[in-house]
Amino acid sequence: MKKKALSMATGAVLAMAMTASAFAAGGNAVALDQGKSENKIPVPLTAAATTFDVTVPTNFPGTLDPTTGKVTAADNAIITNNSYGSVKVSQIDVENADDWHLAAFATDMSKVQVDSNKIGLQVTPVGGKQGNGTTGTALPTTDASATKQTLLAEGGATAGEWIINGKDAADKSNQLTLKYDMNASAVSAAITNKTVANIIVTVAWNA
Amino acid sequence: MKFKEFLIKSGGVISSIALLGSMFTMSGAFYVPDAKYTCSVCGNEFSGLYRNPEPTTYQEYYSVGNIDGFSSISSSHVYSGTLLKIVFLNGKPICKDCLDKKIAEYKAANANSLSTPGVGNTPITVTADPSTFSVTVPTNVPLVINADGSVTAPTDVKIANGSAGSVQVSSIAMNNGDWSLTDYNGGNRSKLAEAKVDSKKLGLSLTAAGNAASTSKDGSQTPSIDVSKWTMAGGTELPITVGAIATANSAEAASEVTAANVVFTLAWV
Repeated sequence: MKKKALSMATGAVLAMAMTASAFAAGGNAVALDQGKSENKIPVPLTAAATTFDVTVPTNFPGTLDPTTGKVTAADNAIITNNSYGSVKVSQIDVENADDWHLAAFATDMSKVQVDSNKIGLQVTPVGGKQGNGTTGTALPTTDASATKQTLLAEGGATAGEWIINGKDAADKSNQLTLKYDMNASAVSAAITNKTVANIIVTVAWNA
Repeated sequence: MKFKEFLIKSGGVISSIALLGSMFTMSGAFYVPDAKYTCSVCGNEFSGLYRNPEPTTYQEYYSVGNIDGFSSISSSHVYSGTLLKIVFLNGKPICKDCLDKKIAEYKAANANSLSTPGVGNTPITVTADPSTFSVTVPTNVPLVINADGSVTAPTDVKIANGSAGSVQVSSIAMNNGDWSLTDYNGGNRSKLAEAKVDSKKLGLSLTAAGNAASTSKDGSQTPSIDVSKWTMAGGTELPITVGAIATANSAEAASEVTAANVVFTLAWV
């Protein structure tokens, strides 16, 4: 019982110590000059680092249709900014996984050998600061590298489309849907939940 | 001519001379030579003439009561051309011209005296030193931006009027400091949601008696206020509620900065 009481007291003291407080002192107003007393009052400011709180998709699943060869992606890949300040997707990289290889998204996979394990991707921002439902510029993979490609770079031409407003936004602009599309070569044997690539999304303060 | 003949022939003339001399001697029994006085005010010399019966006092002559410092001499000397007794001011003679001026000044200063029943307009005159202007204002208005973006403002901000008279805040200016001012937007932070982190924007509001002085745009500004709400009677205090919104910060501030300045202009009501 004593331990519980002591614990509660300690907690209360700790809570009080953590609570930010500000007190304004007082001083004499300056003397009247031509009937007026002008008093310049400074507004000193102390700021803590704003908490960074952003939710990103845990994976980007896709299903390859064995008949048409088309890949269906999920449509709920959403990045949500729960921070007070605005954030941005500053960089998007794509890396191959296992024995799969990156290829241009525009590749006609019908002309590619079966089991050549090629995957093409493109990502597109929807929503965010640019406006709810507004679709931005698609960023596709190319044939530049089979192992790693950077689709979005810091300060890129379309960087402004990847800004996500703070949590107090009234128009849901604190959410951005990361629309993705995939284009894969045919496989001779079924695969399930195989990681064929990784999309690396870097999020930072929009500073 | 023998003396007898002379008397006979000139008797009428001598009698006339004797009679004239006798008459002269009789009137001379009532004559007193003029007295000479020096005016204690202008320094000029003036004559005082004897008159009998008793001449007029200054109270009768000017229709005034007793005036401090003025007195009439006991003798019956009068000012030339009048029946007014010579008047002394503080025991020293004063000429007629100077006396006229003094009496005129006295009457002007006491013009409100009523000689007949009626209404008197009596001014109340007060001599006073200027009232001491004694007002206490906040030395600062410290703000703390918390990690969640909320701003903690002081709750003890006030202006205290220690003067005897009423004082008012006639204007409030809010000026940029290390941060720039922006729309307080009624405390709604939605506008700041799209602001860049570290953009150092601050919305500020000061409310007294229900009247808010708030920033409503970007930059330094002077919000309009209802001055009647920002008035303090002598010896009273005016509590001020502070509200603020601010943009996010990527890192904790290394030190306290002066984000803005508030200029309270005070004046007598």
